[in-house]
Amino acid sequence: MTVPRIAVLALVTTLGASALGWLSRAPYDPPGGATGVLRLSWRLRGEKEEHCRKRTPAELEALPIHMRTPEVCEGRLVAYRLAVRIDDEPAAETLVAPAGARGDRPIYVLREVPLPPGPHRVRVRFARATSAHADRHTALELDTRIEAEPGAIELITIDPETGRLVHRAGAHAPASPDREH
Amino acid sequence: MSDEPRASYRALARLDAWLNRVYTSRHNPLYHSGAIAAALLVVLIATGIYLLLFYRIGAPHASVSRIGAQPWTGRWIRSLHRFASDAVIVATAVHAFRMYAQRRTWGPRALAWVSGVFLLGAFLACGWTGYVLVWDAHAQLLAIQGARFLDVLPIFGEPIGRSFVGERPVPSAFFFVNLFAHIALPIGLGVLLWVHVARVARAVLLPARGVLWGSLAALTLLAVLWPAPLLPAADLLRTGDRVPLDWFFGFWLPVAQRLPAWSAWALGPLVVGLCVAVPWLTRPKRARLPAPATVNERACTGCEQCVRDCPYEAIEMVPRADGRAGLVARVKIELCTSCGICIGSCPPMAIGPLGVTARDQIAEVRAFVADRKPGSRDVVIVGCAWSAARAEAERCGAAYLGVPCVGAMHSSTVELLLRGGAGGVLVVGCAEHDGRTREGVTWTAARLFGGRKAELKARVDRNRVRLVQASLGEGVALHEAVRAFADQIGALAARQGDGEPEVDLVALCRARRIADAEPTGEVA
Ligand code: HEM
Repeated sequence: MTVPRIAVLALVTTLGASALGWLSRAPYDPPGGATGVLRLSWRLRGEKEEHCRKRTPAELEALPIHMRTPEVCEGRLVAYRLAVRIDDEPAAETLVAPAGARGDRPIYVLREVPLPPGPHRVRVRFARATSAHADRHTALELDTRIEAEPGAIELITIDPETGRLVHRAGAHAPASPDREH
Repeated sequence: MSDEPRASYRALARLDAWLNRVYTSRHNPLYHSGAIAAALLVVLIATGIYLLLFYRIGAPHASVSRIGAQPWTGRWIRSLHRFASDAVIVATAVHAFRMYAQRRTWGPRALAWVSGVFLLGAFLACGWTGYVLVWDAHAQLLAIQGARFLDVLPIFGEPIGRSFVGERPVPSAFFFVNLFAHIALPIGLGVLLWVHVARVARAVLLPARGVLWGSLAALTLLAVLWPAPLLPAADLLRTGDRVPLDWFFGFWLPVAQRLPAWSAWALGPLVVGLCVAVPWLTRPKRARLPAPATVNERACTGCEQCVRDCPYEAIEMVPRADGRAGLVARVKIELCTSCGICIGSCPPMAIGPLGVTARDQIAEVRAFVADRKPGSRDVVIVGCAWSAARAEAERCGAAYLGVPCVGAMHSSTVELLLRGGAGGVLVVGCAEHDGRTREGVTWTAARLFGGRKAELKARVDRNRVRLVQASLGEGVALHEAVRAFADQIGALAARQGDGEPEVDLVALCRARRIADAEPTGEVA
């Protein structure tokens, strides 16, 4: 092999390896990098809504004696409505149904809303959606001021001790599982 | 197998030719792409075992950071693990593209193709789990996207995405599951690779030594001199920061992040389905399907050479049914790719795809000789449509005899051409490590010059026969070889005192060289 050929071979190999090394770390800007995010995440044990009616005498007659309960109730977990307003503008409004194929699992909220950098008034309301007496049940509500930063996620969740919606800024949340440093 | 090369193959052949000049045809990494991918899997297992010794699921990022801080070992071993994975993706993509470009996708090869798609899928999945194990900003991107897609399926009690909201630390169980998948998937890869090459005889799982050590050295040097970065630990309450992305594994992220989650379940199966369907989409129409090989049982002597030569283990020996003692060859049609290698392996010309058997070839040569009447200074070029033979013959005005593959050329063809008056026969095959019939050129060399059955008879003057490896893009190299051979044949003819030839290839090529520019290597 001649020296120029070895040089070409070395050059081509170096270029190939460098291309591989670069594509293995080439920068990528994920969407939404310049803005902040309002993340709503919580879990709520579903509330049951029951519809009861009296059994007719004929129905009772048809049942074995030990099963003759006068009332029959059918129940299911109710859905909730989530409404988010940022600076008095509606930012999200959705129906959140209980999880599971039969809708018998808890309600999980996981939703992200863009939050431009700067101060904002954020209002969240999470209330029963399907009950005729929705107003009788207390809704989860939060009305707070948030100073959003680019790339930061502001978390709204339920405080396990008070059972209320709270805002957690990034710095306070334990995000990394590393227990040793 | 006589079908014409695809445009994609012509483009690939040009790149091959360029790299042949840099690395030589024997060490062209593009020819060895499948074997490079297989060999790098071993490198990944070795480096992976080392990393496993130090990885802690309770402290993913910290433990990887500690590995990176080991100055003599961990730093470059981790990077080698990463770059070898990237190289597997590149090698696999080149390998799959080559198979497609060479029309090696359908019929009995469908098994290799489909298992190849799953090999690639399983390898990508293995890479993703590996990236998540590091639990840095890159891992966070992959994990959140993965969870987003999975949460569309109504099968999880609690959405997976809730593990990554930043409310509480990601549970160790998540890293345990990832680590388990990262270790279990390579076992699956091993099984898939075994299925992948099940129909290939003598599968080449290691590249040429120079390629193997060369690529390993290049990747190791890269790992030492420019190690893979370790990004800051994942911060689930930050989003959108610029990350150095591994594009070999994260190529889909820019699209996926901008599409609704359900689209992954629409696009993913569509892409996989299309890839899996390639063998059926590229299968020639029934009328154009090449015939599988058949055996003329009366002529078969039971020598078993065709069984040894078949690159796809598609021939077996069975007891004769005609009352004679011994065995006879039988083609397993479902495994036959119609490559025609068996044609050249059989001394009594008893096997081959119908219509292109050795006997058909001999008849064709006779007609060719009668028509062209080659003289003692003429070189006849024999080659397939996938080599540079035809273009070179046209360029030089030499007589050209096409064969489906040089491996499908019976050695009697060469003898008959010389007996028919030709001064020399130049057989042009593809590069040895690139043969679309896998071993065509190797067996041809052994048959012409190494005494392998069906060998070129000893009475044939070997000075008048030459075998050249020149794929489609290697017009320049072939041109040089033709000139040198033509010079040699001219000298032989002069020594024997022959008169001027009807077509003086030597003079013709020289004249054209002066009149025209040098050939560019481009092939019509
Ligand atoms: C990790 C990934 C892969 C590895 C390690 C690998 C390796 C190999 C090896 C060693 C061979 C035998 C080559 C020979 O001896 O001639 C082969 C054949 C083949 N591969 Fe792959 N391969 C991979 C992925 C793929 C993919 C993604 C495809 C296409 C989608 C593919 C398509 C094929 C086909 C069609 C053949 C058969 C060629 C023939 O029969 O002529 N492979 N592969």
